[in-house]
Amino acid sequence: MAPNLDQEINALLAGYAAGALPAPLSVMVEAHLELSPVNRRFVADLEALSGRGIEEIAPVPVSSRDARLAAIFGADIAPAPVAPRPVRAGRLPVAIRRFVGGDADTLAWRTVLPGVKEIKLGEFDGLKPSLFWIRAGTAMPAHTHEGDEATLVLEGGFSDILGTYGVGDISINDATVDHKPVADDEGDCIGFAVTDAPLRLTGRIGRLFNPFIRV
Amino acid sequence: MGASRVVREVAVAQNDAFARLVEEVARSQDRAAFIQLYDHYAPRLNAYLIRLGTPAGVAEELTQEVMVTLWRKAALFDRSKSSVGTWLFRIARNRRIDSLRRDRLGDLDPNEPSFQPQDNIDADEYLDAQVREARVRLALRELPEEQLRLVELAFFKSLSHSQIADETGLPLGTVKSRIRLAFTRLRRILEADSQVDVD
Repeated sequence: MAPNLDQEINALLAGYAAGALPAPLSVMVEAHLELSPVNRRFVADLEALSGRGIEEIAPVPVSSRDARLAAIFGADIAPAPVAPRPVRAGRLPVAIRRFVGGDADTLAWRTVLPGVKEIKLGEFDGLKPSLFWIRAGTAMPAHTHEGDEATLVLEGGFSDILGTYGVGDISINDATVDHKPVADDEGDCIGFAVTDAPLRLTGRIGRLFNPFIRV
Repeated sequence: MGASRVVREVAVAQNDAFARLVEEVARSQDRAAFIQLYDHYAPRLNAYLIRLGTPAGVAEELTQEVMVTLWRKAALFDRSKSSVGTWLFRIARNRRIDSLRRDRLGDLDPNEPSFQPQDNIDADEYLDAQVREARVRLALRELPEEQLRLVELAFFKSLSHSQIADETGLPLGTVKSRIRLAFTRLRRILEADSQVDVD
């Protein structure tokens, strides 16, 4: 049985706001906030706390302080003009494009099954992020996970045994869930998934949903 | 709310002073103002990054990148939206991710629009940064002592769940479930509070 999703997501958001999430989950939450307004306020509230945390932390001096200052002043980098607020000019959220280095239509997708494409991005902070693209109406093969999996819908939507997910929704599954997502009929579903890296699993406690893990 | 005002005023003076310095940098590339900000924030961001497990040398490089961003993009700072500490915290968080992806996936074209430094997504409704900070502090006070302790260990000490388990002597599974409960409760308090504010 998957734990209470609201509680999981609140802890995930808190980990993001604390700046303590593994990189792929941090990217996922940032993209989620771009796509969906519902959690922005809670995150902004908690980030105010993180700003206070920066003020109260015991400082660790940086080496070569003078040289570093000189480098900044001497680099002849004029202050940049004020950029307009970030706009979502692309198909995928800015956070995803920035992390992956491209947009949906320019990336090198690999077909894994008829109607299913993916891009594996490697391993970061002990977790494996990937993008998937499922053709409308297509079912992924049923699978369970060795660890935990979080999925953010970027385009379209899908359903599985636990529910129905639309753009901006996060789905969380653990190893006990027999997971068979089916893309909605209305359009292709593009998503960003993050799974535990099984080799790094250290015990029976899933590591993914410890929002404050570090490797 | 009297208590709210007291909490607020304590934070205001300090926040205002740093915000003014950033505005000086934005307005006139004031080096003296920048140096004050550098000396205050660089060692703190460095400490934050080290606490997250970033190797010391990398933490210093990331700190430097944040400071370069502060020098170049000071005009993007908006004191009504966040404190200087929160703004720099967000930039540091993004820089850490950029550097990880750079190591694994190579450089992005710096002119790629998605690579432009950006502030975080704004909360939908306008809420003055200092009011926000004060109401979060008040909400924290409504948490039961034990949950408050866990939230503080996670937030202010950036401890991992297993470190919190060590520190508190609680089993790891208990720490995980209590932290989930604590943040869910905090959220409820904040949401209830905001409904009162609107009236």
